[in-house]
Amino acid sequence: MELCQVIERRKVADSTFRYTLASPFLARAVRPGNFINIRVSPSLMPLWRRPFSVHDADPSRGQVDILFQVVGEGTRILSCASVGAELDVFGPLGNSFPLPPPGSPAVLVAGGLGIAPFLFLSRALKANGSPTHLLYGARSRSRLVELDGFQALGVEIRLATEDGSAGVRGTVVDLLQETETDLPPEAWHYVCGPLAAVSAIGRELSRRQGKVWVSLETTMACGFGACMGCAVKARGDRGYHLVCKDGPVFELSEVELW
Amino acid sequence: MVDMRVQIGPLELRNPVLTASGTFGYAKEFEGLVDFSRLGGVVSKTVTLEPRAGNPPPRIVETPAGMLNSIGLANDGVDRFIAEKLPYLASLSTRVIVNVAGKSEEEFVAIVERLERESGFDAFELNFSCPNVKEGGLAFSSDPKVTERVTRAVRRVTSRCLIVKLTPNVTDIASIARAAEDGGADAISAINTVVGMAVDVYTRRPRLATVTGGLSGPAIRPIAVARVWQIAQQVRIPVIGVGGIFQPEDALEFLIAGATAVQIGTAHFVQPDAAIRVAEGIENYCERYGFRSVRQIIGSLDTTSPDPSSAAAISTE
Ligand SMILES: Cc1cc2nc3c(=O)[nH]c(=O)nc-3n(C[C@H](O)[C@H](O)[C@H](O)COP(=O)(O)OP(=O)(O)OC[C@H]3O[C@@H](n4cnc5c(N)ncnc54)[C@H](O)[C@@H]3O)c2cc1C
Ligand SMILES: Cc1cc2nc3c(=O)[nH]c(=O)nc-3n(C[C@H](O)[C@H](O)[C@H](O)COP(=O)(O)O)c2cc1C
Ligand code: FES
Repeated sequence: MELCQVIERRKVADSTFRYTLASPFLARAVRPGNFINIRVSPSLMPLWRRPFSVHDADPSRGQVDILFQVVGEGTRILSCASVGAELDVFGPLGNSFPLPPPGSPAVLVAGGLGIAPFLFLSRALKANGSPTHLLYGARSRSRLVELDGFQALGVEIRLATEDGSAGVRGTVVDLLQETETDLPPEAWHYVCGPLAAVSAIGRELSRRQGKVWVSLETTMACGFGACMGCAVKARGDRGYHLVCKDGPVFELSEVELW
Repeated sequence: MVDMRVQIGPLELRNPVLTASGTFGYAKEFEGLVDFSRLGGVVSKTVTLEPRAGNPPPRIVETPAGMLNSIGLANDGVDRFIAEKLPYLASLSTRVIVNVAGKSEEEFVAIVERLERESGFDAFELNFSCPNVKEGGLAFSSDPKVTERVTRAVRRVTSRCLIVKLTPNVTDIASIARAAEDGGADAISAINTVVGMAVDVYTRRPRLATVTGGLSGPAIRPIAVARVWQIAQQVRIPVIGVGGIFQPEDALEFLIAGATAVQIGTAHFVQPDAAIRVAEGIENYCERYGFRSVRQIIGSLDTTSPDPSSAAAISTE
């Protein structure tokens, strides 16, 4: 646990914020896929910390970024933090995304705020020499976050919005079906988003070749394996995995999502 | 220097702050986050004879100043507990209390017998209270006769300190506590979680897969303090207060109401080192108010009508 100062605060889309936090420790320790657990208020409401993926990290400047959307009281309180405020942060938590063999391609599939961990992952994929494609779906153009960071890394981007205001009209699953033939079939796929989206995307990808890694979101009380509350069903008759400790990243075949 | 030691039956604790079962894993989860040597002791997650996968998700819901859980006593079973968890617990420089549950009297006896042969821990805590498991928990401490019978049966097979943990979901908890005392318990822990439920009104579905679950956290603290106070007046054995402790003052409420020690539960999820902060805070309180021993506070509740000239009365004007 440490107190991290908010050194930059930007609104990047409708009710969506990007914070840059000062933490030399986290910036060195985090890996793509890890999350941090933030106590948004010292009061008892809300009680739990709130988990957020690491959106980006810069060890040379000692900074980590988060990207979050206001969906309830906790994220609303967080969105009110001003530059200079200190956040009570616990992390890094969870496992991280494995990388494909050097030079081999990657496809990132994001539903909504599932985009969050992918900037940091794209950085690692670039260092790995992996040509990277991003399929990104959101409700509408006003919900799409800025993509300059991805562009700067040379990521090829395809968009879908439910109302058709940007990219293909439909969900990221529609986008995935449309692009089936022109993406490298042996690519490793990475999926992140709300559980329902990850489940739909996973179903579509399970028919294809190439490894599929999903990053899951469940309700979490602790984030470090102490409460056993964040269970997700293991594939086959093998009980449950804990998303915070065994995950949040799983190979699609490890978990039962549908 | 404040003397922070307290006595739970045959067991001396270096300070009165323990971790509550199911909220501290098997301690390993807190390695690097907590200096175990500053805890009174660690109570491990409930272990059962056979492995249990636990309940389907969703297992937890956040509620006002609290949470509901229906973990379902997920654990790897006693054999793997002994092989994989106990060695680490045994290596800690603090007291170790192993919490066990069973579906029947026979199972309680069997698991305690199995563990009794092992070294590396100091006491048993019997989970007579977990409200999550259909066939277990509730029955044992909702009936004084069953409580006494099972406590006595377990008492026969262990020479270790024996703690019985009670559910608050009964009409007369003090009579259950007396039954545990009569059965040979060295101490009572109270309380386990309070039965609760939350509904998603938009889907009209329960928020927990098991529909009801156990409420914990600050929301239950006043209930727990009252239960501890009721029990402490009716038994001679020490009472361990559990329920919603986040701050030192919360723990002090329990001690003043008659608890000899306390357990920290839900607070660990928010603040992994909560128990140590509470222990430090109790010590500071003792120093500040001139108590040389924490034992002077225990049961010091003053229920005489307040002196109108006292500072408290003045400050409310
Ligand atoms: C490992 C992990 C990483 C995450 N990374 C990010 C991230 O990078 N950016 C981001 O914006 N969010 C992320 N989330 C989700 C984020 O933690 C929740 O949105 C947040 O906890 C909601 O808190 P709240 O108090 O605002 O909402 P609450 O009042 O708790 O809930 C408001 C509404 O949102 C729903 N909700 C709450 N938590 C979740 C969840 N985890 N998934 C889906 N619905 C939920 C509730 O059911 C409710 O309808 C992540 C979650 C996990 C588990
Ligand atoms: C997630 C969770 C799991 C728990 N698991 C157990 C358990 O395995 N055995 C047990 O005796 N009590 C269990 N409890 C109850 C706690 O030990 C404690 O009695 C209760 O939560 C009240 O204390 P608190 O408000 O400080 O959490 C659990 C509580 C929580 C929140
Ligand atoms: S959130 Fe507590 S174990 Fe995963």
